[in-house]
Amino acid sequence: MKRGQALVETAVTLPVLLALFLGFLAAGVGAEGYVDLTTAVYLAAASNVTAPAGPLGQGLAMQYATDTFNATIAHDTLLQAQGQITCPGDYNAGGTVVCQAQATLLFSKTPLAVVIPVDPTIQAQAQATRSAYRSVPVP
Amino acid sequence: MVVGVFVLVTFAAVSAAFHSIQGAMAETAAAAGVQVAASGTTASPNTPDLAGAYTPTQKLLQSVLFGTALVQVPAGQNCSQDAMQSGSLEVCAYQDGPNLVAESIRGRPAFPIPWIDQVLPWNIDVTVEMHQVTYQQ
Repeated sequence: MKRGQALVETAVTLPVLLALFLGFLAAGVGAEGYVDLTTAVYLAAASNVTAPAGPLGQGLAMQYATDTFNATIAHDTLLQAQGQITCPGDYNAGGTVVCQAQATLLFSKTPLAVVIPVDPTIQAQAQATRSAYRSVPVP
Repeated sequence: MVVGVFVLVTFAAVSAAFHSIQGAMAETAAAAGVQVAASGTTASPNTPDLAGAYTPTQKLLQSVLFGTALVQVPAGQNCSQDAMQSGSLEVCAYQDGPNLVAESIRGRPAFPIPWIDQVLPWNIDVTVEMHQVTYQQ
């Protein structure tokens, strides 16, 4: 009788414990993916504001941001960028830009795909301000 | 049996949580370091300060190292392929092409629970890049 009771208790408890463990893992992977994306966008924004100021510098600034974002994301096996990074804002000296990007979190590339069958889309944004003394390129 | 499984799952969950914290902090530390590396040196504003990347990285990572040895790879060199030794992390800053500067943190950190890192392959392999800062007169 006691043996049967222990068996039933084990059968009930084991799936719950396993689900808890997998939940911990999924939360960890999700948090890490979000930190990775936020870091890539943050570095892209920081890179953007190092370019020369003004309309003539805008193309260069976007190239800096895109190069930085794409190169950082390319090293991350869990993230796949969706589209290009965008950085609308004021490109004059002292102006602020807000960079935004989206990426797919690839749970399907991990053993967690067994319990999480979807790859969620996450997004991040970061703000940076160009130095008020940043020079404007001469045309 | 249930108690044994419970203890095992608890240890594994705690270990996974530590790994997430260390991974996230490594990403943040590498981002701080690569910003310094992408800037110019005091001698030449157009030369990336690769050697300067280590200090901000080490300062940020220190709180989650738990006895892990942090190894500074000479500036300009990528981390070694066999860097996944237990209890050590390599920090490498190097140029990736003509315009990009990269910083990698790679290895297998130590855990507060000593034997966990021997059993579970919790590696850290983080690389961030940034466009080199340019200056004009």
